[in-house]
Amino acid sequence: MLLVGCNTSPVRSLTSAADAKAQTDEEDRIWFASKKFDISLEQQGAMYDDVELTDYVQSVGNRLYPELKGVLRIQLVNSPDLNAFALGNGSIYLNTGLLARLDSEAQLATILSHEIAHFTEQHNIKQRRNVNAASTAAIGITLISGIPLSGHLIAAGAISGYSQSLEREADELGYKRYVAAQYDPRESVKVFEHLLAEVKALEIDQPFLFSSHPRLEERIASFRKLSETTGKSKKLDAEGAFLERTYIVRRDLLQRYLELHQYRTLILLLDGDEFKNKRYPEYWPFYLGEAFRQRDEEGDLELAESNYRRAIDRAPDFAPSYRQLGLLLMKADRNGEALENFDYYLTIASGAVDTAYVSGYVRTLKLRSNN
Amino acid sequence: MLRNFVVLLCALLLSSCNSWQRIDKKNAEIDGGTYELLAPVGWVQIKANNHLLITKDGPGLQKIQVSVLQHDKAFEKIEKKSSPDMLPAELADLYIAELRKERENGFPSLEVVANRPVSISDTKGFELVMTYKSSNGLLYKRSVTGFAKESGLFLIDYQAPVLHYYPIDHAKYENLLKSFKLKT
Repeated sequence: MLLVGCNTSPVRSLTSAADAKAQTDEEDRIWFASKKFDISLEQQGAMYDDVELTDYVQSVGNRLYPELKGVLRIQLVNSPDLNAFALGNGSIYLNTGLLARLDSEAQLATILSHEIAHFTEQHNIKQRRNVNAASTAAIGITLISGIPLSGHLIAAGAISGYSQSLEREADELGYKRYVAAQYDPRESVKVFEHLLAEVKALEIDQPFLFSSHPRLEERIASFRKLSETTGKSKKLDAEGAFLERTYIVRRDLLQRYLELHQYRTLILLLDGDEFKNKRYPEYWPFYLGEAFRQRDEEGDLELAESNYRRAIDRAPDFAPSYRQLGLLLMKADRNGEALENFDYYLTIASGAVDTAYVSGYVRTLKLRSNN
Repeated sequence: MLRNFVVLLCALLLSSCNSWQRIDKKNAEIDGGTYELLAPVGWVQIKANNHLLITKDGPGLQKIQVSVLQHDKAFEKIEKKSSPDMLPAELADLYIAELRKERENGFPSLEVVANRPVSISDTKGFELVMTYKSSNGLLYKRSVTGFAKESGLFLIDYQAPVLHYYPIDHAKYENLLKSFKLKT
């Protein structure tokens, strides 16, 4: 709130790297606070450290806004949430949870062009000037989460979304850049269609990325209209290459969802579409099996077992499938089969952090069979 | 679990009955209601709502926290309960999930270094050793021993910055664990 002054001078658009470096006092304060937030995120270990993938995402941003090369700094946040946000100093953050949902470079460009437009139009400053009771309350809530004060003030609007009019402006300007970079207009609609399907299926509130945006349905309609007027792009979008580049993010994300017990998300992502699951590691049925085990409704243990077995068939060297199948069988008193699976797990996963548990199960099962 | 710590601190601030007590040879044997243990002499302790907090230089520098959680409130963030018939490895997994869910972005800096079965007061439990970064980037190490009984989920948690504090007081935690006894 200290940053909200009485400044009424117009907020300029940033149209070049030189523009971005020649700052007013107000911009300078925003940049400084944004930098502090950058540092805070890094210190917390929140970043997804994959240089090659980060460079690739950066290159897409540079293609969209070549005149801002060197000012834009696109980073991946190691977070399962569906979100992306831009700070006032040109830092653009994209959560791995969102990146993993995208099917093509064009869809990535849709998100980035929108976020970069927030930066070029200095929406951070506009939002600060128009801060209202609602956003003040939102800032108050976020302050208690422990991230440094100034950084959080700057990031609060960026992370939780801007006003509807600023979001619309970012949509429109971002879309122009997207088309100018010759991405297929139809792909931009798909991003929101996919996300809407997920939001509905999981019955969650709109994710942060869309919390104060025009509602997703409205947004889909608007992007569809824009894409119809633009026509088809000449440039072909290499979906296969994109999925290959981002494979590691999807692989890691399955593990994150498992560790967070987000079994509903895992079931939504993996259940039912074998073809789509080619984008995940061969052993994806293991995660589906784990999701059913965690959900633990009627019939879920049978589904878990069949999926562990599917994972073993598809990826015989993936050790966790044997451990979890062994546990399930042990609980069902199918001791001989359980023992076989645990033995095999210990053979191929000798360095795993949890081998002491499995060795204990083996001892217990052997004692049972001797008695 | 983070929330438990915050609740504990709030309870201390609001309560005039609770206050930090220095631990000396006379009061080192602590009766926690369902358990008893020997606390390190020279440290200070405070109790509130089934939580016991022990520290020497302040909770940010090192703390041992003993908590007894009701089964239906053990893993509220992930909407799961604990129960006495759960395997220690299952409890450990739920504990990690709860920790991750409590923090922003799923607590990406949390790393599980060790996860193994232990026996404490003749009860099978788990021991987790984890590292994580605080909001200002300080690397912490955390050891948690847990087990479930009819009376609740028991957690004995030692955490301190890796630099200097964790290693020098780890033996105190080990001694406290050895002295831990469930009351019959």
